[in-house]
Amino acid sequence: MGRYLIRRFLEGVLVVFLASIAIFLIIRLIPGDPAQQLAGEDATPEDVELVREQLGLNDPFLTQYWNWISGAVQLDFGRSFTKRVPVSDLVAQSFPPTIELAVAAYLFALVVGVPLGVAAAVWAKKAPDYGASLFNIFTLGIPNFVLGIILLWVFAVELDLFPVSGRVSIFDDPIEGLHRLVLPMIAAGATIAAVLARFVRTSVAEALAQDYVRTAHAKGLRHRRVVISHALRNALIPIVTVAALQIGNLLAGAIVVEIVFTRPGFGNLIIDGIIGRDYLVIQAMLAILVFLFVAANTAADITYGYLDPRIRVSGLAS
Amino acid sequence: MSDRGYWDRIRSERLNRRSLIGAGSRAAVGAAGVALVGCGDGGDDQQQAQQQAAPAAAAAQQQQQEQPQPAAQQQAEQDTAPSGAIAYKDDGVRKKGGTLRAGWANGSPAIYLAPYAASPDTSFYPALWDTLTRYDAEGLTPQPHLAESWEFNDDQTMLQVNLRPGLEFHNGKPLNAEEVKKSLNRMGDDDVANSQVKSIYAKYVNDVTVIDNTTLQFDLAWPGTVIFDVFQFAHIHDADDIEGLEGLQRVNATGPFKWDPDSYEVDVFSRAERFENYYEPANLDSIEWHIFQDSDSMSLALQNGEIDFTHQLPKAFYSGLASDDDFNLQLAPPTGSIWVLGMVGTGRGGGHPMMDNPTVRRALYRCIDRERITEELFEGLASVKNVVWPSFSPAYDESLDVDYFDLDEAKRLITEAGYPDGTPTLPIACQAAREEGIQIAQIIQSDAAKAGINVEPVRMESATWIEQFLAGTHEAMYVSFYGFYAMHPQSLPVMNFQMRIPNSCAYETPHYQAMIDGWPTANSEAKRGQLIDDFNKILDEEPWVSPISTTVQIWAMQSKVKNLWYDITGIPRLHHVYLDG
Repeated sequence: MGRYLIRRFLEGVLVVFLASIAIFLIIRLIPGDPAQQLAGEDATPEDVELVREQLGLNDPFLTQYWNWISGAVQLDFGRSFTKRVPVSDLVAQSFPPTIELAVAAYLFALVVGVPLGVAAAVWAKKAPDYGASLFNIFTLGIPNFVLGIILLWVFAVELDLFPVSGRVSIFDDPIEGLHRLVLPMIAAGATIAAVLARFVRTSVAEALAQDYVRTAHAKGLRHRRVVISHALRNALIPIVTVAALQIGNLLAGAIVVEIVFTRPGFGNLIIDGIIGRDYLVIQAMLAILVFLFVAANTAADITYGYLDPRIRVSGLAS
Repeated sequence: MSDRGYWDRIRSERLNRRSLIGAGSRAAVGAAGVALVGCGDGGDDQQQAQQQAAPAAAAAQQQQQEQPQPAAQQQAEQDTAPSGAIAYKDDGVRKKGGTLRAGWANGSPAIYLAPYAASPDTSFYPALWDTLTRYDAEGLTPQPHLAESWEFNDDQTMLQVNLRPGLEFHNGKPLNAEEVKKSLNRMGDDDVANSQVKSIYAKYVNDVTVIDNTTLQFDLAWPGTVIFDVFQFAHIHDADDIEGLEGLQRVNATGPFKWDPDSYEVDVFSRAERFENYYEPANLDSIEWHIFQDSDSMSLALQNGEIDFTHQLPKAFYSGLASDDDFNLQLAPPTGSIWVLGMVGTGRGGGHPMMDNPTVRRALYRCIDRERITEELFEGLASVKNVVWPSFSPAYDESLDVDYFDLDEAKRLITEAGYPDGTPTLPIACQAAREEGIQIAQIIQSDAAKAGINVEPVRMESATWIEQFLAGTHEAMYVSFYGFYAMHPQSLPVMNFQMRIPNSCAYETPHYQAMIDGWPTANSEAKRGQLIDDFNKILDEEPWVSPISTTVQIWAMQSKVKNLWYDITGIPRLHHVYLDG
């Protein structure tokens, strides 16, 4: 198991390293000069050149990359071109809100999606199944930012049950924090919940048709226990795969939802960074997102080993 | 909801600029002025003024419809209307207290810039920083701010400025003549992120001498009142603490509100409190700026009462606000900026050979149906711009302010230029984020085609558009905003990148260069007048930038927000704002 973990870790590091190069290069291939963006539409060529020099954009690519990556491994991502503060400060400011939203949305997706999928599988072609289908069609058919606007309009403006904008840390004020988290959580988590529900339904339905389930029933186990302890557990591997892959969608969704609900977080930073060609901000944000995505998938791989010893043994053997 | 519905609602709520302007000028009510939706409390002065103005406005509008005015006359009325517009004037009420919550769309890069930026396009700058003098919405008459008086010598080559006594920076440091000099001189330093103010200061001012604690003397390189353009934009800041601006750790400024660094969350929130030692303390206790990335969400926040005032809302939201007594809408003065069509020659490695031909450019000038653009696109809230100057400018020439839209003449000119059977396709570069610019280009496209000129709007991402704009390498034409036209005419070819040399249109003739070079030695009104005439002649005969219309900027606010007014650039001033209710 130790070698398996080490191998997965090293693969993850390699992916992050290659992604950092790709991010660095791709950003610079996008048309648009950050120095000109910063200097403004009426800047003279001399002013633009001065800004470019101040930002270090006249250095060779390799120097720029080395300066960035050597700092990044120490969590020093440089200084934002446009906001004039250390990028690490911006990350520190925006990371907790985004993670808070992502975790809440993920929990929402699990709490809603898994039971819904199980219910749809157990009561196939019956009301729960049709209800789950309806939920899937509704949430998958509406982009999360549109869903966010609808939720805002109905629950914040018309019913005045929730605030339109802003975030309060749930650690500072749990009640107000949750109050402001409910709508963004639903907007960000609904699509993931639908995807999970669909996969859980398929996996559990397949599992319920297996011999070991019939055996469990024949042994006289209660139906609920058969479903949860036997069918669901064996159906978990594809579900974990999908759940891990959805973390990327979840982060992307959270970023969009942050903008709609005016919550601080990665979303604002990335959008501002792209518009202003704030290379260091974009690089840091994308690198962190890649890292999170790789970490989540590595965690999923490790979870496979826990769920299915055959994978663990196979990993050791290789 | 259709755009038509939105504009109709605006009209029904008396936000029709021209009807109100017409009322103001003809009926001498003066109170109607420019677009104001007066849905405030029944007893306030603004609504009374509007109620007085409304019948006159209706009558004036009817009269306008029956007797169309010459374009020049209309233009003159529109440009000068703010002088009688109560919406832009201090109502004199001093009601202390409260916090104004301002919404800010799409983040705000401007918040991070040094105070010497010349484009303070938000309410943020004038709240925190003060200037020596500032033009109000009426025109080029400087109003006292940190300077209480000034005096020129006979040939206007020296200016003595007298500061108000007892001025202070926000941290209590005395703000004397020496500090003002240091602040102004700091603009010339390389590390100050600015180009425009720096360039005009360097050009206009030879030296500054401190006479005593409250008196400075400016030795002017360019004689005349153009120095007040520098003062308009040169925010006075503590020159010893420019470093504090880095990341807005500290802002030791001079305006009516004092920055609260502890409140600052990048891209989220910022706050400023009333500076009690300001020479005329503000009414509000504090201002909060809430930053929104999404304008729809900002609109909902305004409707939900989470913010008090903002702008840049989606059109659809204005309709709802216009018919709701809880909100007021105000149209900023039309002197902030104008839409233009830039025609790019080949002088800087881009452009199109056809654009090097002044006859082609004149033909294009005549393909712009400015009336149609202001009516269809801006629904009458914008003003037609036939010439670059507002009517209060010394450079305004009424004889040139005529309707140039003439497709027959455009056809004749393009034939004369050697394209009797139509032209190659000429792209008009538009910023994707500025939808109105794209629509302007589409209207030009449809009209130009009738004259045999093939143009094609091309959407470009802002970063790419700016890159080509600054390099002067757009393929043939572009549509853009255009600022500084309402400032002193001498400043236009210095401040505006579409007019100065080198410029975004690659227009750089010896004649034009000689005209710009002539400013420093124009030491009399007669000589300056001659240069202005020369400039107008060049722009008329060889247009490289064609004005189209004023821009439209509507500010939306809760009805409790009172006494919001604007300076010449259309920026709202929060100094005298108070909350009523």
